[in-house]
Order: sequence, then C-alpha cells, then structure tokens
Amino acid sequence: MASLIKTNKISTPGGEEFTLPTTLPSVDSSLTSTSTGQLGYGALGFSSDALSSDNKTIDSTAGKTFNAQVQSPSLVDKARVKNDSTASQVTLDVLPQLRTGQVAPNVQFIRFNFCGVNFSDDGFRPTIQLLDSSNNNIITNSSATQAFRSYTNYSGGFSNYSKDPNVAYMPLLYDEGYRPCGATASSELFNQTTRRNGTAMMNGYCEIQIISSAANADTNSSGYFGPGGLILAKNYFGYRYINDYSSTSNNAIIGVFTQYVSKQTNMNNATKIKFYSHTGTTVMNEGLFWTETTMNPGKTS
Amino acid sequence: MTVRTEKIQALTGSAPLTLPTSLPASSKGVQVTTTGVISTPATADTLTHLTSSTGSDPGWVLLDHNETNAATGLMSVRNTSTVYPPADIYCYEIQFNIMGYYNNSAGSVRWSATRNGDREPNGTGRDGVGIYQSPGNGKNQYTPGANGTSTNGSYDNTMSYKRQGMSSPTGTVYDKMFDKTQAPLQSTYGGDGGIIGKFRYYNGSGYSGPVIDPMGYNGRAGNGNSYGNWYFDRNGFSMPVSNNPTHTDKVDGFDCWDSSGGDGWGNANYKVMGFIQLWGMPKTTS
Repeated sequence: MASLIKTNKISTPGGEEFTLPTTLPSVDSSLTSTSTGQLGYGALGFSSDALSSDNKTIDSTAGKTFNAQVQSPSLVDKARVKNDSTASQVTLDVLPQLRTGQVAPNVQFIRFNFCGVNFSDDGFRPTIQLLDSSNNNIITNSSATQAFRSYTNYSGGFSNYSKDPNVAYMPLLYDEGYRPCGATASSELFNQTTRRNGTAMMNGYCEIQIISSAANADTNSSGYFGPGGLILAKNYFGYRYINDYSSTSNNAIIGVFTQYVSKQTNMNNATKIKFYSHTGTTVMNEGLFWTETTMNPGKTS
Repeated sequence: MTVRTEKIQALTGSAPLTLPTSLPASSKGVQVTTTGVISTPATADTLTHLTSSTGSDPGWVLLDHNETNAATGLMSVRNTSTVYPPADIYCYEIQFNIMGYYNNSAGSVRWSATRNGDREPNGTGRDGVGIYQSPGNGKNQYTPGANGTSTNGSYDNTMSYKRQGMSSPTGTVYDKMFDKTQAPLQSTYGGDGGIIGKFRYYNGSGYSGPVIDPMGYNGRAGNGNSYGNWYFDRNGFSMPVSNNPTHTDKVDGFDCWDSSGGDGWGNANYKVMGFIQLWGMPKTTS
C-alpha cells in the first residue's frame, strides 16, 4: 500500500516552510513556488523568457571566460498604451533576468518593436533613447565625447544624412517634415470601425547593436572615438503623414534610418530604451511595444 | 531526518501528489500531471511562446503552420487558438516560401486576410492607401494592391514572382523545387522563382493591414544565371480612407493563391506550394 502523508506544510531543516497546493492542475504544469513558499502550478506549463543554447561545452573549456549560458534573444518587456490612458513616452527594460552563471549584464543586441502607434496630433517626432541603470541618457549632446552619423532612406528614393554629434537622442527620421499624423481620439483605433482623421498607425522596429566599454575609454587624446563604446541602430518604420482620411494619395512613408555612434568616454551598459517625442507635447493615444535582447556571452566585466 | 513516502497531500485538500522515484541526470524543471504525478522530464511541455522577463507577458505565439508539398489552388493559415483568439492578437507575423506552378510565366502571389474564415479583405470601402518599396525592381511607390470586396479573388496585398517551369508532376511538388537532378537549366525552378520573406499585419478592426518589415519579400522574374528582374520589396500598408471601414471582427488568418489561379475561381492550372507560418503577438500586458 502506497504511503501517504497528509500535511499542509513541509519544511526544511533550516525552517523554510512550503505550503502544499490543495488541488491538482487542470493541465500538466510546472510546479511553482511563491516567495512565501506557497506551492502551485504554472498556468500554461513551463515558461521562459529565452531559449538556452544546445551546446554549452565552451563554458567548461579552460581559459574561456564566456558566460555559463549562451541563450537566444530574451523577450524582456512589453507595454500597451490605450486611448483611455495615454502616454508621453514608453520606457521598456532591455536587460533580461540573468541566468545562473551569467556574471555581467551586458546587452549586445536590442530589438525594440512597435505596432499600431497612434498620436494625439501631428506634433509627435518619434525618437528613441538608450538609458543606463541610473536613467541617464547614453546618447549625449557632446561633440567632445561622441561621434554621431545618421542616414535616412525613405519611400524608396529620398535620402539624407547628418554628422552633427551634438544630439541627445536618436530620431527615427532625419526629415521631420514627414512625421506621422495624429488626432485626438475618444475611441480606440484598435477597435475602430468608422473612419476618422489622424490614423497614424505607425509600425516598425529598431535594431540596435551596442558594445559598452567602461574599461577602455580614451579621454587623453582628442579625436579618438570608439574605445568608449559603439552603437549601431537601424530603424525601420512605416506610417501615414497626412491627417485627412479622405486623401487617397500616397501620403505614407516606409523608412530606414541608420545611426552610428562612437564614444570616446566610458559608456555605461544600456538597461532601458525610451520611445518618445523629442519636442512638443503630443502624446501617444495607443500602441503596443515590446523588447527583445541578446546578451553578450563573452563579456565578463 | 528523511521522511520516506510516496505521496503527500494537503490536509484540507484532495489532491495527493506522487513523488518521483528517481533523480534526473541533470537539473530539470519539475512538472505535475493532472493526476498529481510529479516528474522531472528531460523534455518539458512544449512552449508556445516566450514570456517576458518583466511582467510575465506573452511574446510571439506560433499559431499555425501550413506545409503544402503537392501544389494546390489555395494555401491558408488560421488562428484557432482558444488561449489567444483573434481578438487578443494585436499584430500578426507571416513567414513564407511560396512556389508557383504553371508554364514558367510571370505572375504574383495574392494575399487576403480572413475574418471568421472568410475572405473579404476590403469589406465595404476599405481602400488601400500606402506604399510599398521595390528598390530591386526600380520602383519606389505604389498604391498597394488592396483590391475588391468579393469573397473570391479580392486581396490585401500582392507579391510579384515567377512560376517555375517544370511540368507536372515534377513541377507540382514542393520538395522537387530544390532537387538539382530534376531541374532543367533552361527553365525556372525552385530557388529561381517563388517568393520568400515575411510581413507583419496590424490587426485593428477597420484599420488594419500589412505593415513595414525590413525583410519584406524576395522574388525573381528571371531564370538561369541571369540575375535581372529581381523583386526585393518592402510592404506598405493599407488604410481605409474613401469610405467607412466596416470590419467588426478581427483577422483570424490568411489565404494566398496565384494571381491567375485560386480555389474555384481563376484557372485551375495555376497553383501554389511551399510553407506559411502564422505568428501572433497578443495584446496582453500586465
């Protein structure tokens, strides 16, 4: 006869108590525990924010300093703005939870996605900025500490560029004459079934390669940019820039905006990304945003 | 002190949990079946999506996959998920490789979103306004392909390509498209033709459509070692402007067919084959 112990709690020799669940899971599930020791079941079985590498042998190779687990891009953060709760900006984490054995939280690649973004009027200049753990801007307004190059190509033919390093943000388009349209909304565009002006419906994503280098900044020699860190951002987006719904002309943009930043001074690791307008007071009516991050497996300090 | 038992159960519950009788070979997750059996399987339950580090929000969900080896008039993918039904999907991503069959000729693949399984891409008065880029083809802007309101033949967007040139039955089987022993040098086959790529689709009710994707799609209108007539396109998006959008249901899938073919309409000789994956991004956030 199978032995059965009935008890509400089991405890370890150290006194940590775990409370047993009183019901069975409705589907095969993972066994979970709250921070107070209440055992339960994952609603959808196992969950993870990333997939692990199938080949970790390099971790045990003598002399190697790679982190213990090389992983797929992590789904890090997600936010939704609705018209009943507008936002002037969206700031998402880009630093995922560290795996056991990961010794340095260094972000290598970020994909910032946005979809169905709508604005309160035509004044929104879509912009991103990377933030460090203290919420300080990583892109700074300083020709002494950074070199900045940007290049725009949109609607297939138009292109332009800038090399002004005195910018403290990363706009999604060089020519702001084509910023996305918008309008005050009393209902949600996502469920809208009647026409209205200002349906920006901005969609796209930003892919950012980032190498922070707190150890190798060169501040003694002028003109040497790069030892402090590098950023390459490629931003892809599409939106309509004419407010009037009755206009049937091609008042829409598909754009690619590339930015390259070289730092002379120490550049902190990016932990967040902010999506906002760098001028004006226009807010977002709605939109869905999410971040995916790949960690730098070879960086240990 | 170790207490040995096979089962444990809460005093106030009726759900005995059966302990594993062996240790896993390496660290594994702990899993519980609906009958309370605890195990540490080498392969855990299948994940349908990743969960965000912050807030435990769902990421891309793989909703459907269509792999068509024998060419057919219509290829479809559907979101039949009860966990993330169409009304919960904010954005779809469609990944594909489609080959066309018939006569080595130029044509296009047409895509239509479906609502409740029906194709009426434009509904009442949803006109296409937007652009798509075709830098490889030397074209910069178009009014996108959204066209018509009928169930059969109307479409949201279209992608130019060249149908492969092998005759049936070789030419109507997808896995023959990459078989060099089957490929005539003088005619389009496999990688010479077809379309490959992906696009995203904003799933608003009236305001919806294919949206920007840097990959877009890639197709070819030539054959042999001539690399002329490539299509390397980015999709624009369609928006309702001229009349009222009337869609009240969310998109639950996508159909595609050859521009000269179809499923009961067009010329039945023109067929498509390949694969489509349907991914969805739930609107759920914490």
